[in-house]
Amino acid sequence: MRGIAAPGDTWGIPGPTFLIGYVVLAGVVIWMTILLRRGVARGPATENLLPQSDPFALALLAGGPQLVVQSAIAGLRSRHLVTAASGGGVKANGATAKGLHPVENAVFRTITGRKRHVYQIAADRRVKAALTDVRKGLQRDGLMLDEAQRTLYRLLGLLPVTVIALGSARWWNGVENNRPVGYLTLLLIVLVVVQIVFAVRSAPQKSGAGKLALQQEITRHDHLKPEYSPSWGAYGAGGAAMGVALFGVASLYAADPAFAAEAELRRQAAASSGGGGDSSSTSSSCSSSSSCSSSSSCGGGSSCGGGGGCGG
Amino acid sequence: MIGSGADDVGARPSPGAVVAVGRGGLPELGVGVGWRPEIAGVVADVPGLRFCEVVAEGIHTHVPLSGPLAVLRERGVTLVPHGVRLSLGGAEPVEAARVAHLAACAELLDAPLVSEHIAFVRAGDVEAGHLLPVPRTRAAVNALAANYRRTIDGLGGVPLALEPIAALFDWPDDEYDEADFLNAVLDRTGAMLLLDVANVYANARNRGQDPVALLDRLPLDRVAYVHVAGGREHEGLYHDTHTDAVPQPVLDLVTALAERATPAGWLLERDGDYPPAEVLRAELASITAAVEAGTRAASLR
Repeated sequence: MRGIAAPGDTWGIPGPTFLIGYVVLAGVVIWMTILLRRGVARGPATENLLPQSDPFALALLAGGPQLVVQSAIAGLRSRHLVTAASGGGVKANGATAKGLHPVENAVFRTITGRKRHVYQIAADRRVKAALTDVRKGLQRDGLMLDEAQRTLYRLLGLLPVTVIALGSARWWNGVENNRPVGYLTLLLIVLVVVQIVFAVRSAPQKSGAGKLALQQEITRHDHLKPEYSPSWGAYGAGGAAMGVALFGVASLYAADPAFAAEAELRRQAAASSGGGGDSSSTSSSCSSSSSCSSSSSCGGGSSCGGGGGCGG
Repeated sequence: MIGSGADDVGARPSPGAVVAVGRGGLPELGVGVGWRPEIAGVVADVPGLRFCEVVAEGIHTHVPLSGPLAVLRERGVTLVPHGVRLSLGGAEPVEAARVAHLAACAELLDAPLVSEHIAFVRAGDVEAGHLLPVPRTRAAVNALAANYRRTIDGLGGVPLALEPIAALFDWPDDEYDEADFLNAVLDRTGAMLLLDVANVYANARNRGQDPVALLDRLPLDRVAYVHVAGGREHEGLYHDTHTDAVPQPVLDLVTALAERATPAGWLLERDGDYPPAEVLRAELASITAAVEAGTRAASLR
């Protein structure tokens, strides 16, 4: 090892010295990239997060537009405002409804007079508008990242490019001057891989605060877990929607299996190459859900011991 | 809503505060509600709740208590395992595994007592899927006493309260009437009584008898706690459905019982067709009011 610069050294810096400095620099830049991106994604301080009581905001946070639609269908179903259409999909039961959340209202109007699948409802203009409002509210509260924050997140992911550029310049000079570049080549390959990982990882929708808020609500609404077969009569439409938002569409299958199965609530949009939209492959695998049979972990069953009248 | 004193169902004034013998050392439990997984969130939000009953057959005893029940236990709510499948009134001995499960439930819930029915649910290999009335005969009293002893031996010191059931029919070879049979069973076993006033009402009404007169013939000092439930009339018979509101005559019977005895607690049973939370809370408030009316009347005497 030579510690002192010799006339043949690229940029007057001996190879080993450069390599050590370069590794340190790369480490610091990658570390900074991670920290800065995490800072952007963190959201507001989480010490005193307010309870989030809107099931549709939580559904958007937890699973996205389709879960919001499924959650709204649960809210409507518990009010007897929606029925399963023959051949799958849902349609409104009745022409008007009052006291609905804007999201429920948009879904209700979308399925008034015609049957629609969940993915079709999620793509409807009115539903999208209602979802945008919900999303804006979440972004305002810092539970979701807005476009500017997501762009910044992506740009910060490009920080390692500066280190790669520096290393590439050195590598090029080294090759031109017939200096050994083996270690530097390896390092550059590693850095390029790291850079690719940073670049392809999409910016998160949820902020750190959003993840925490969601976790808090899941804990707070433990009693709505499908395994307890939560009673929609007792918890009302809000509870029905909240159960689906936090514990997924399995809640709906547990509460109202016939409706959920007939309405094919888990059906996804047919693949674009599929044509006609007859996607039995996507719907059949999930229409009969076994994961949600009410296997309560504790205290299931009535005190009646079965049968019609109780007498116990 | 939590902690608003107005509908605090746990509060129960006890003028004179005489501790009844029959309580078996139970603390004042106030008005509680049968815990069901379907309404766990509603039960958890009942203000001032001090006790719940949990269906024993639904409790998993091989894992630590978790979820809503664990939260209730941490809050100091008294949890009483309530068995429905032991078949105490069956001719054959109770199954040791079922007794062991009941004991494990009591330990898991830290329960001061457990309860079961004076009924049979299976005969031989046939499961009735329902609580069936025991013929009111001396042989049945003997069989019950033997099964009670087996259960108590397996429970390791936790007392077992017995609950008579509502029966829509009587066996032709009955040797006792209902009150005499209960007295005989309680005398032979020494058990505490879990009295279901809705059953008392149903049995009396379906046989054209006066429920209060039946109450007066029961050993009310042995009542550990009381069941209150709703029902409805169907084709001339009153059915103890647990899916309807508690009717006024049953609430009147609560008052009549509170005039005559001081059970440790009163428990609303609801087993389906669950109403909104506020309706359930209103039912608990009605029971509290009915109990208070009875204790007030007793203190004036």
